[in-house]
Amino acid sequence: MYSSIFINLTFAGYFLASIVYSISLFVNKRQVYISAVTLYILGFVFNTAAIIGRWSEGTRPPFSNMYESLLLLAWAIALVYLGINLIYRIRPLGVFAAFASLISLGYTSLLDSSIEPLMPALQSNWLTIHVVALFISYAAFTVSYVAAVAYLIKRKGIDMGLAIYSICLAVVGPTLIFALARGGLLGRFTQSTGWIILLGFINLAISLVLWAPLYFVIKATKIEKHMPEESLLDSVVYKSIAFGFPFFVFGTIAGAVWANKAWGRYWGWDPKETWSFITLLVYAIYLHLRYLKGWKGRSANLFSIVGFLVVIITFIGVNYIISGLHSYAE
Amino acid sequence: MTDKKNKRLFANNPLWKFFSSIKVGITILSIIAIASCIGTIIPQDLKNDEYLAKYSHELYNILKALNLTTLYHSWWFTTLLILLMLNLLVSTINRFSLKLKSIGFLITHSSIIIILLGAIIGTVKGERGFLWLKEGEVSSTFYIGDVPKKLYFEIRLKDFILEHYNSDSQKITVSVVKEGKSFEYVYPVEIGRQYDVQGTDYKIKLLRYVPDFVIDAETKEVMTRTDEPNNPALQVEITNPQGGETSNRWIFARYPGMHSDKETDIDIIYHWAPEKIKDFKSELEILEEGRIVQSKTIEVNNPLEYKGYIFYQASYNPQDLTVTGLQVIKDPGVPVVYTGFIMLVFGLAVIFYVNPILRRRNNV
Repeated sequence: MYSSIFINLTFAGYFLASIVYSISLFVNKRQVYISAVTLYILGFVFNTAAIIGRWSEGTRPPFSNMYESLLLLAWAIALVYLGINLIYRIRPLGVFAAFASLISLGYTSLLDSSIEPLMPALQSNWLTIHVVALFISYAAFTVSYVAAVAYLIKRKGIDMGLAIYSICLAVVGPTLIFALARGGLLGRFTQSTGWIILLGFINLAISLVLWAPLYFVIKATKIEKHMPEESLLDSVVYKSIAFGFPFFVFGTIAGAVWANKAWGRYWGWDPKETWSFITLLVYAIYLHLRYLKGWKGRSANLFSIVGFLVVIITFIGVNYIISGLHSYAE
Repeated sequence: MTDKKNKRLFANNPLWKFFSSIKVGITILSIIAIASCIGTIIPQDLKNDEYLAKYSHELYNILKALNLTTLYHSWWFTTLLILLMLNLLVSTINRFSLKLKSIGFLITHSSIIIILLGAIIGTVKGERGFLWLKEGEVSSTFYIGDVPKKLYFEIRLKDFILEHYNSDSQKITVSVVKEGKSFEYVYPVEIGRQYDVQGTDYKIKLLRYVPDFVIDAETKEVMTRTDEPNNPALQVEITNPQGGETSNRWIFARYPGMHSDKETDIDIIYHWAPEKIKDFKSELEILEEGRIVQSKTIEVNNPLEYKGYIFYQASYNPQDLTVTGLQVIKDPGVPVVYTGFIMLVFGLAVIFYVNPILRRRNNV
């Protein structure tokens, strides 16, 4: 019961943090910024309490379904952002990170919160290792995305437009999927090539409709003036991917070893496995080009945004749209 | 410096040049990524008629000709993976150096070659089959597809155990709005029982349960299509406080909003959940020449291993709980793959966590 109170407090913390962070962009005062960080940290503490509470209520690690994953993601984003902020001092990115935590937590209200017992295959210590490693990497990729978006917004013009469109895609896609799943309307989309492609187009279209008002609001606020230097943002994009990538590989390998223990095969081209493989390839390409060719700037950051959209497909899309071994995560 | 000699020896070989190029490497990675993506949009490894239900005959023939329905095992996807392996091999040799800063690179890239090698060993030398075993039965044969395969020993099932979570699998929630106040109660489902809804004058009674609700088109009679709970439904009799008249409705677990009787201020929701399985276990014994040489109770996540064969708790027969389904696997590639896994994680940690610290120290 306590965990639901803590979730409400977490929600309040992230919500207020998002608002005060937004204000701090325009009122360049230290006190405003400090209260924003304090609220974000407070939300993070409540989020921790909510996870621990759910763990003790369910007497099992709370990492088994979409509701619990999103609760963990909100937590991991706060953790990774606050950690990276300690090193790089990227205060103005706080507004994006706090919103990302808030959105991740907000999605949970669309989902079933009941604590279900674990099915046999999930009863393993690998569950915690696999999930926690992957969510640290997801959070690092989210921070890289946030920095890439800030970078493109700072460049204004068409780049700002693309950045905002990517935000629309990242928010509309999961919302659409959760809403369809909640209404019990997702059945026909599952494993049907035509419907999967149609759903992609619906997401592109709805995002385009939402894009226009959001673009003009953000443009009017002249938010780009308050963003950090382009070179700093560029470095945050690279470093958070470089930080998250080993965690992602480790988490995927932990999943492979676990699968071998449960089902007798470490790799089976299950859709979830395949999409994590694709994610791995996309970020591997980014890291190679960065390392060997010094790939920086506009196109590199656009590519990292594509990488993050692939992460969203891996994390949410696959579970609902393409059935497979991870479908229990619904 | 052998690596320099190597470079001089091969540097002018066009094939060597081709595979050492980063552009070629990135191109191969991109093609593999796109191909993998296609394989998740087109369902893989289904049966002929399952595909024909989804696609037209012509389209299915095209997909089959391009190996798009068995993409990950197709000759062209395998070729891509081998090209990737060659690319990794050549670039690892080209950049070979025992300097401290190259160690991470070396371990990471050779680990991927080792993982792919392990996968090849598993594909060529591995065996992957299934075995259904009844309590008390002894067997020394398992099946790879339909082909029987002999084991060097015998296996016996002593006991099969299926455990459920204890939970109320069926209940109803009754909510009543009375004088602006709402009451909500949860009751277990008992057919024939009368429930007095506290705080209101409503009485409800559960008349009948059907697991798979259907209405006969001719007689308009409610019946059940099967014994499987595909559409569980309850018939409820509600006695109204005003005048004591009774009404009758069906409520459905899968369609909670279906009846929505706007006239009354009482709402009943039927919660139906199948009993959840907690665990399934098989007590197994391995016999050689009639003697028990090993025994273990296996469960999901905890298999039995004997002489290179591993027995996984994979399935059971819900109709006959004395039968267990065991996956039988022999994969000599696994130790190789795991070596690669450990090297990969270690190598990446060196590249992304250790090297930056070393570099910073050198700069200071």
